[in-house]
Amino acid sequence: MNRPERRSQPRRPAPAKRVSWARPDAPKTCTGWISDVAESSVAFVTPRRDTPTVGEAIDLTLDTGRRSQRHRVAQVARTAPHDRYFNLVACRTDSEVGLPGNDA
Amino acid sequence: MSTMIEECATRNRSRLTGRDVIHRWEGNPIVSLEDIPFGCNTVFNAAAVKRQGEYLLLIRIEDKMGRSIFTLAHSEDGYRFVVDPQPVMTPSETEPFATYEACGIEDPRITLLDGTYYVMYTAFSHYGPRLALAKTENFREFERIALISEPVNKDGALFPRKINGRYARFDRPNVGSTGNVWISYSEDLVHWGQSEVVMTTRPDHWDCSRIGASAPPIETEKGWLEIYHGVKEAAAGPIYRLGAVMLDLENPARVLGRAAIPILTPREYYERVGDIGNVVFSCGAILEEQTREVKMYYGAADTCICVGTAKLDALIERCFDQEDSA
Repeated sequence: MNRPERRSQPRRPAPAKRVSWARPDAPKTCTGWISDVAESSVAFVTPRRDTPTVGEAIDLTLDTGRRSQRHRVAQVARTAPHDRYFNLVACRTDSEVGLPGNDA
Repeated sequence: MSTMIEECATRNRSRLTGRDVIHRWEGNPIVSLEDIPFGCNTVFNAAAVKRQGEYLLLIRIEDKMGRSIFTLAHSEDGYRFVVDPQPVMTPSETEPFATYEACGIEDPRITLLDGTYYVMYTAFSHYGPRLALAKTENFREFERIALISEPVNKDGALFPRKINGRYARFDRPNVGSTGNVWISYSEDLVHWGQSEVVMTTRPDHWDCSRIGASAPPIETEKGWLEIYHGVKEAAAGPIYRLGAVMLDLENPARVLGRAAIPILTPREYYERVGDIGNVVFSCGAILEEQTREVKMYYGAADTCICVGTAKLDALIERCFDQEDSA
């Protein structure tokens, strides 16, 4: 499948949905809020103390609606301060995140 | 003219569909078990305050032993909170509090009064629930002041200013399985008395079984706005809803108007299903002075914390709306 270059992918304004993420094989699950979703990337805010590092692979679970979720593996591409309590984490995903109907 | 028609249409539509005055935030719930960085059983409800531009929730959670404790959460926008890594207040190990907090501390309400933040909460032991008062300057250290009621009494909420020279609080002494909202007064915040009933359960309403104060009262130009909870014992168990009442500014025992229908009733999944289903229960609301919007924080199903908003004027209007049809 030919995907458009990431920056040109259509973005949907993210509703206030939750995300949880964990390092592979780590017992601790961290939480956050989805900030931005595109076809093969996702950005979210997470508490500063929990922020993953750039290049790290994480397992993402995104709330997508009424009690429905999507699971994806993602690689952290960038982190930046969001406010006093949250950092913004931008990730590339191994499969499409934001498009409806692609959750096999 | 068209605006008036639209407002009437909206109001009628709201009544016909039973839509709540409180508008739920689409991101609810805002704090769940997964957001607590240490082990615990569940999340109940939270006191709320805005301090130096920061929103704070003092959250009642249940630890793994089953006792309720408090932890603090912070936010810049009032919706997305970060919970502290450790509890901020646990049952006291010092007498006389230790005896009466042996089973936990519950349902905190924060009031800013004369520059100090007071936390009125329920001390719970096998003697039953009773009210206690603490204060803090910085939300890191909490100084207990006194146990301020006998059992069985809960749902204490301190007024944010003296009334006719006396401190005032709501409380809820229980009579069997029922209870009403009372007001008591104090010269020193320690010794309380001159108690009188403010409002009672309504046999033919949603608040027929017991009622209690929820958020600390909000002073408005029309009177004291109090968001309270009402319980109806149904065949499948109790249903906790939230209502609104307007009280006289100089004599808060006098009811000026009491909404006939709830301002929030359990409808969403997270309000219906949890440790105790069909519960919405508030311990705190914040009035945004500039927008006259009220952010009301509430526990849902004794499992998570949510936020809803309403215009202050809509809540005031609802207090004087005596239509029974919802």
